Amino acid sequence: MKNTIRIALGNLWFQLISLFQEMKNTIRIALGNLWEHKAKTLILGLLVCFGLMLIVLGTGFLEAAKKGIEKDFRSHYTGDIVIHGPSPKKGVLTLFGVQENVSVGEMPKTPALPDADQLLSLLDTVDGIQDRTRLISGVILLSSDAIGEGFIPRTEDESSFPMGFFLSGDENYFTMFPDVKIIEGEMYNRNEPSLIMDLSLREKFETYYRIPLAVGDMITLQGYSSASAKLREVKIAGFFAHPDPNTTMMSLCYLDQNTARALGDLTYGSVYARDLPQVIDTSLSTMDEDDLFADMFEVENASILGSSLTDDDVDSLLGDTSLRDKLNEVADGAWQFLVLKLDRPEDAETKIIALNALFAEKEMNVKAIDWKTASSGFAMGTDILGAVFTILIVLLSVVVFIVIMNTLIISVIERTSEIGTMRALGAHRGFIRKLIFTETTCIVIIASLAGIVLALIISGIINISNIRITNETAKLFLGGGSFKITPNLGSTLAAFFAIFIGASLANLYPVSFALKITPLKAMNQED
Amino acid sequence: MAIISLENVRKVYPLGKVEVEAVRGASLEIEKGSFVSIAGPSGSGKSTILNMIGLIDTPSFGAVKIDGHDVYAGRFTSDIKKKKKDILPSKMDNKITDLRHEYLGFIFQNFNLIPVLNVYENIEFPLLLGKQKMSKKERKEWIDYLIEKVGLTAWAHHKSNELSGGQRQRVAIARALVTKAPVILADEPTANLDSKTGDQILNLMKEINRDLQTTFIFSTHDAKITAMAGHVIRLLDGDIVENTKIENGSTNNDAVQLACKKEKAQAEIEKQVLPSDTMSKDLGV
Repeated sequence: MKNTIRIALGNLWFQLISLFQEMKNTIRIALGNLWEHKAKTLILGLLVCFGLMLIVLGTGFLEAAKKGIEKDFRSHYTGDIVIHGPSPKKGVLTLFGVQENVSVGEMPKTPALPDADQLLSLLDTVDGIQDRTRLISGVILLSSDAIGEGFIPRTEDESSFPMGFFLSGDENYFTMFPDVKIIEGEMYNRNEPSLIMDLSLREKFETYYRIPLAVGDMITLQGYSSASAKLREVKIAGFFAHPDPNTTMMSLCYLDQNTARALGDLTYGSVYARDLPQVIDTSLSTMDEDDLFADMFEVENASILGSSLTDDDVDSLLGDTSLRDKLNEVADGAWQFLVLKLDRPEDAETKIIALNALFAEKEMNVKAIDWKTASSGFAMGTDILGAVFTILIVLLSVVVFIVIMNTLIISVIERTSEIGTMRALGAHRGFIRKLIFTETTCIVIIASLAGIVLALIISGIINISNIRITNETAKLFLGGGSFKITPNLGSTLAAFFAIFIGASLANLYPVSFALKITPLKAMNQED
Repeated sequence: MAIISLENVRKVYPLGKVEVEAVRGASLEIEKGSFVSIAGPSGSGKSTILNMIGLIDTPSFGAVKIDGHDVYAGRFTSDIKKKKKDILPSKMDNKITDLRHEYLGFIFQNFNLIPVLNVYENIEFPLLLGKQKMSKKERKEWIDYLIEKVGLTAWAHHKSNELSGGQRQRVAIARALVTKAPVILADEPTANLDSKTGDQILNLMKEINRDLQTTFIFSTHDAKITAMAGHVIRLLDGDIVENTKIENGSTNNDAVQLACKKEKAQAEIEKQVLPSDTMSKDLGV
């Protein structure tokens, strides 16, 4: 028994030594072959090296951009979770309006948060919420009486069209998002129509209208949604810079709640329409005089056109408008969003699921969304770039795959005699398969390491150089004002394995070609 | 018992719609330790027979036996290759490869050394493919012995491209011997060597044949090899026309001398003919 075990162990040891020896020799022959065919090795190596370097740099850049945007938006604009009212029939509701494939003027109206008090009470019972603030937002177009009659807009530069976003929070807003840097003037007054504006919006205005903007100036804001185009005049209280200088968030202003509600069409009629009795026709309540008459015709002209109509006649035609007037008043206490910051931001995803389940259980017509959905197109830029990058990588991979395959086939054809000799000397097909696979593996490993080192060096140089992006569209796509690359271990490993698998697949045809080589080919046929 | 035996072996090659029979029902037996020459003019089928003996080509019909193993066991090329075009099934390929490794060594006309390996590694290579239980020390001693035997001790760590043709063929001989295969197949081993080196190589092989009782089978045009052989198989148009064994198995010295004289005379004639040929060409005749 003892002897049997000793013999078995001896055999096992011998097998292991043989295996190691065989591996060592296979690697030695493979490396020798690679050295012998330097040109082909170099072509394959460079393809793998630069391919991996591009992937590492690309993913590192996208990763840096995505993380930068996420940090910026969660810290300064969207918090960890945003809760909004009834979802629109079409499109996605975001903090900056409903995202749908329509022009800004046709953008569906952002609904008010229903049962805001009940919602707040409910959230008081939910654990893990660090802070919260209520919010109104929207899209605005800026203009001014100072522009004058004969103004001809600059149309050659569409990016300077003075359009932007507004946000208006409750008393807790700047406690929750305190990092806004007022660089000129002061914070707006909550009790009068006033705003603070970021520098990019100021620059747009000044470029487009060719007049300077200063603290204390009055400007006209036009709110946009499919329901209405509201006009409000407000005072510029100050100008601010975004807390993150690399932010993709541009053309933003913060303004007082009442103006925000008016621009956001948060009237009693629109907010409480579902609570009113059926007998009350609210169709007119979603429109005030601005909507009805501002752009169509003037009442004075109507009396002229209608020959003998007086103001009394018009009033009697419209009937009692007191209810409509009330319904058209701005609804105090109406908000569009509730923004939450969590104790553990990393739990946002699970918290959103839990909150939505809770809202469904309580039959509340509200929905919790994550920062990315709430941030609208700002986070989409890098996603689009990521998709384009992925397509490019796939195309590149196909080309690299074909080049590797062809190079390997040429290599196999050139070594027909060598492979045939090995087969004649007793090499099984498995050995040939292993040999070619080892060669490819050696190239992939060495070239990949070189590619990773090169990518790290390049990203280090780029990060040290602190390249700034000034173009706003480029900022959106490149994830901010600073070009940074943060190589990520996970995606680097994934890229390495993808290249390894790709190279292994590229091996299949050349290997099958090599396996067809018989020892006969090594012999010098004479007959 | 014969180490190699062929029974009614035929090899048919398809040539378009026509089938060409390269070997027509060859039967022969080769004894262990013999020095065999397969001779014949080009196209006679000698390389085909050698390839079938070396298990690197499959017969269309007939049996090939190596040390009593019926290699194809009644299965022929037409059956074997039916499923996969021109490729033997894996199981059979592995069996044939193992038999080849165990019983056969090869010496090629073009030496066929592995270019990335040095002399020692080239000789060692077949040992690394098989299942021989040989320790590293034993292996080294055996390879060193073979290197010494073929006179390449000083060249052991040189790559093949640093060697002369004769030296390369010596490496090939040592490589063929390294697995202690009882049969060495040599396809025109002296064809790419000058006559002096060719003679040295032949003498070396004869010495190994004598000392180690290794069977050598040559496919050759070289009259000297045929003259040295103890067993001559002559082919013509795919048929064996002569199958002669010299009883004592020793070298026919007279025949070798005669073959050498013939070769020298031929070389003299070529020397004399060449100037007039050149002249004719110059004159445009």
